[in-house]
Amino acid sequence: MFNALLRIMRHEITSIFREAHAWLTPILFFIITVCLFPLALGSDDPLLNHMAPCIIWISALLAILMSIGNLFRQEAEEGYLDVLILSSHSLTLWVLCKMLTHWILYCLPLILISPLLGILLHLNTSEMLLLISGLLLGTPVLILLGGIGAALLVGIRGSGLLLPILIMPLYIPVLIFGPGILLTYHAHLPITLHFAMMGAFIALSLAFAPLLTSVALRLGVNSS
Amino acid sequence: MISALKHRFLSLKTFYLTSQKGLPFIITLFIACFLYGVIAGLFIAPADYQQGDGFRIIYVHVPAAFTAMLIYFVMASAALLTLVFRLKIAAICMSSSAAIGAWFTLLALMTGSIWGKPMWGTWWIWDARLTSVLILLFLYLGFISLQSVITNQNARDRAGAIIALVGVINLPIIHYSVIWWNTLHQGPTISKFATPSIAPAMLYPLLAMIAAFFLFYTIILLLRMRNQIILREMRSTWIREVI
Amino acid sequence: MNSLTFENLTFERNQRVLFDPLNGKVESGECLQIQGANGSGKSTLLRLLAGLLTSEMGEIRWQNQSIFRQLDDYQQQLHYVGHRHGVRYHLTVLENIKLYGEIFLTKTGAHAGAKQKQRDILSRLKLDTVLHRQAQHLSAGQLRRFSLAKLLLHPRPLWILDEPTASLDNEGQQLFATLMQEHLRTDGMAIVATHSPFDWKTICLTLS
Repeated sequence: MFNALLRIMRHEITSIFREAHAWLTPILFFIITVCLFPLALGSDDPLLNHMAPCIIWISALLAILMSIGNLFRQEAEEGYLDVLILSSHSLTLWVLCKMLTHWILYCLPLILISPLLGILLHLNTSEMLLLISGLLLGTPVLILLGGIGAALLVGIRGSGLLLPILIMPLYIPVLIFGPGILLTYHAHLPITLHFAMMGAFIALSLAFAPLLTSVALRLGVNSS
Repeated sequence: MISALKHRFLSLKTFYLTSQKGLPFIITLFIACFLYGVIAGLFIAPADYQQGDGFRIIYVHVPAAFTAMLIYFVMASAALLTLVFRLKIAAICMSSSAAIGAWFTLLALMTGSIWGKPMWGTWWIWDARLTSVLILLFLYLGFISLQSVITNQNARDRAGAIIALVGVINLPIIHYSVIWWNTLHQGPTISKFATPSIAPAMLYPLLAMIAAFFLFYTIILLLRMRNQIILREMRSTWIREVI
Repeated sequence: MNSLTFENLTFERNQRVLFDPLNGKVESGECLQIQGANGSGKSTLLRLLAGLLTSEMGEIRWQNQSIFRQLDDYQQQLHYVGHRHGVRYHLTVLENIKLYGEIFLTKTGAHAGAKQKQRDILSRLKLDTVLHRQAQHLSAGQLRRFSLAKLLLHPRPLWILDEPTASLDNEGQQLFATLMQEHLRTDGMAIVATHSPFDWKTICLTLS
């Protein structure tokens, strides 16, 4: 299984090099969106500092939404998804590997860039650590849940607008507790609850999402 | 054994014929509850000493919100049956409930907003309950949009079931998160929506209205399900005999 | 002796059936040819028979048992080549066939086809000149030929092929005919959707 995971990762990275712009767009979108907020809000430092986690989280969420809809697009277009469905190998495991690879390629850069953006928004070191840990716990959940949506809409034309409608309500708990880490920290209240909840979200999503995604992929929603 | 159950008791034909007989009874029950609720709530119950007659909107708002949540749980149970047992009747129930649930949610939001204006002076407030209902509306709309783009009935049922189940797992999480989020952002002043000690004269009409709203949902659901059955079974012989 | 039968099979889309309910039977050594105009539902029928789609209407039986009771086993007995090629565009031809080798494991769990066998297959399909070219840079005919590679890599009794000769030149079509004849002679069976009828004896099913 580890070999399969490595192979999938290698193939994804190869595919990324073919379409480098598809990989960079969400990352650039993230950076630009974060920069838009100070421009719109004015350079009021305390306000920016207070809003910083929300700005970064929402921009990251939107950037993820941009890329997650295409999780299975390539395999579906190639007809390779059919090959996978028909094969004796576990589709759930493949989905999990796919999501892990997607997280490494699309979320890890965001997490690595966020300290730099934190500097723009005047976060201190401990705040940045909290932000990064929150993103580390939260972004996998976004990918896992987003994958279910992507699988339900695989092959449907014009599904770009539908995916956010489908998944946004599911993202709300993460959006409440993720930035909440920093907001509660600012209020000098304990933040253990937040980490516990984020941990619970990841555990639940890991347990259910890959399975539901593979069920959704087998539905043959796109019947052509 | 499941397939025997399926074919004898849970078949679309049985449902169609049984609902035909049951509907008049349910409609009578609904009219009774509704009339009592409206008359007792709007006219007989005393005015609230804090809010005056404005509080009477809870006779629409609370039942609407309650029913909206209940409908989602009905949908989710039907979704589970669809996915696990492939029951067509469950799939029809699930799909037919969605639009009704969405309308109730919208009603709850609008009445909540109307209640809010005299209460807090604003048309909207981000308190735990209203926010949960808003998110519930998005869940309904997501379900309806997903079902609208899938062309094959079978795939549509199963895809809807998946999203409904994912939503219902999220619903308690969302509700709890929003309550927590609300206490953080609003501080210690939590808006007291439903006063804990509610006079019986106010309570009974409220319960009657909740029952009435749920019965109304049942009536509309049965009618919609019957329509769906006709559409789906257009090609079979028994439906032509019945119509 | 294998047999695949289907009865009253049809598919619903947007509340309308795609084609009139179909009956058919294929046995070892036979080829069932599906003919019909574009958009008549040939591809959908093939996907139904491969178990990639489910329909409420009709039954499909393999060895007299519904395929949905034995879906995993059934799908291990067939090769499906759709009108999409099933290749990974950003990998080279060689990498793609290595991928197939890993996907189609033999009963012992070994990879189907050692390196040499894979190369032999590629040269048989006249693809040895493009071994290291990315699949996205192949011509339509070359892609079509490659999509037949898995048929040779791992022998399975049932072939379900959607327009296998599309984009193939005369040489390619000859090659395909040879492959089919070998397959049918060794007790294989095939269901093929095609515009152009084949020379050998087939059962024809026309979609309205």
